[in-house]
Amino acid sequence: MDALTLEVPRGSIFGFLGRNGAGKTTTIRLLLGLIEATRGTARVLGFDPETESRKIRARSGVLLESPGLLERLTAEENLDIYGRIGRLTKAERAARSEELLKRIGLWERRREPVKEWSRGMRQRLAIARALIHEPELIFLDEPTAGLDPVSAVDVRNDLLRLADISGVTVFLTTHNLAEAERLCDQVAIVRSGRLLSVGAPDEVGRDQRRPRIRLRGRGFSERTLAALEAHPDVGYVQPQDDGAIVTVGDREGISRIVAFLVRNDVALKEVSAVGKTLEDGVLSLFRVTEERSGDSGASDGPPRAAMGGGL
Amino acid sequence: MSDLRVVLAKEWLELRKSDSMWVAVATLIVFLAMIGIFLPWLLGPLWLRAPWVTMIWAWIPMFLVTTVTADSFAGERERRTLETLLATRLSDGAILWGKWLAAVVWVAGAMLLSFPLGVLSLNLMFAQGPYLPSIGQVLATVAVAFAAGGLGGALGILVSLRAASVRHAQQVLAIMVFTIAFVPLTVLRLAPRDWTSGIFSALTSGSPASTGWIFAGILAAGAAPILAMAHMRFRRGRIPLK
Repeated sequence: MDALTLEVPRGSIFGFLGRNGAGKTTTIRLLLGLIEATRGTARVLGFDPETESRKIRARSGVLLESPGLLERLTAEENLDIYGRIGRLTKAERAARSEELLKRIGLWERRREPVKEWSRGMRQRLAIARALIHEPELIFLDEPTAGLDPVSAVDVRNDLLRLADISGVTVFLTTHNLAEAERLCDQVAIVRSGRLLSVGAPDEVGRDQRRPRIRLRGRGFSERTLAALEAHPDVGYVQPQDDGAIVTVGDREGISRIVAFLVRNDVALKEVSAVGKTLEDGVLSLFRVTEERSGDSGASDGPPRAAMGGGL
Repeated sequence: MSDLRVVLAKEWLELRKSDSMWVAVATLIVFLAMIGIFLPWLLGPLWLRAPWVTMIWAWIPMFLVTTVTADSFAGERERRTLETLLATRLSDGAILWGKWLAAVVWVAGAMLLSFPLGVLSLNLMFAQGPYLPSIGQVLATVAVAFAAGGLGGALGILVSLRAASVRHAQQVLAIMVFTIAFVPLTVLRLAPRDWTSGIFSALTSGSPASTGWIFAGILAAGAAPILAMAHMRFRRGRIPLK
């Protein structure tokens, strides 16, 4: 990681997004004190990962790259062991296990060895394990990676439900942008260990997101589309069956584009704005950084991070 | 201490539920029968009275405990559970000592079952009895079994900490255990004759209890620096996670 500066609000679901190798897992390991940083400072729940990592781990739950379940044991035994590690009493462990397993729909299968379960079920149990000792913060590293779509939806729903009940701060890494958009209150985009942007999912890459409009009607010939693409207010034209989706330079240009099409005998039926997704923003950000290759792309100075409003 | 107990409970539960548990039980039965039935039948009252008899409880626990400790870190790394364990509030010491103690108590405890079994066999097979050990001999036998287990466990932990796989750890440990077994014999062979006869005389003239305590002391002295080395090498930020 290099020059990473960010703050995670307490009680939020924070998405840490980036491609494979962007440094997402490394960041989690650094914040938990599982690896040592060469320079920079961080505060997690007010504690320094370098000198007070045990306090951080005591208040955190984790689901790392692998579910990390004790596969020879049953679901109930897995939760019991980690409840003991979290210093819960026997009665607390039993009650908490029952609550969590019922919430994720695995209560009936609590006495089965985990090795017999599907990957999706194991992943859901691992999220429950992360929450067994009622942590203030949980780290989830790609919780839906490698899951089939149905299991991924189950995991996301469990996560939302459990986070909502416990009011826990969630630090979630993913490269699934739709997932981040759905789950996260805030996201940070990293690339090659550097922070590109941070903010609410609908704000990320906003500067780079140009307005898009859908044009529907009759008369969108090849010649008209080519002329449209050459128009000074138009960035990119994506032909559709009954028209086109057009990226425009700015909103003022839309009326000029409409006038141009009318002059070219296009009978317009509909002109509407196309919703901008987080994916558009992130891809734009990546494009901009690629264009600036050789540029630093991020602020100077050592990396800093704060979590749970700890600074 | 409570963290140590949690690690012990986790390790024992995993050992009990191990896929190879039936192999471990079968191995244990073979060794129990060998030490607790066959040797008393073969040696007669010497099984209890010979000064060197406590050494029986040294080699086997030392060998067996390495098979358990080889799995301690390398196995967790292979099963990808190590990082999750390290991400908990457990201290480095609780994890390291808990894993070591779990293996030592498990193996040495199981092997010591052969002692009362042997006493029973001896009294059933030879009518001139009763043959009963002194309290000192019982304690010395326990000390030898735990010291030998402790030495094997320390080696196992040290190797397993950095081994890429359980198989790799087991291969390294097999070489180490054979070295430990053969080095004393080689030293005895090469030592001056009066030294060798002195050692044999000590082994055949003392009581089983006193010889046992000396032997336990030597094993514990061997285990201590290895454990210290393992303790120094086990740091969360430095051990390989994959």
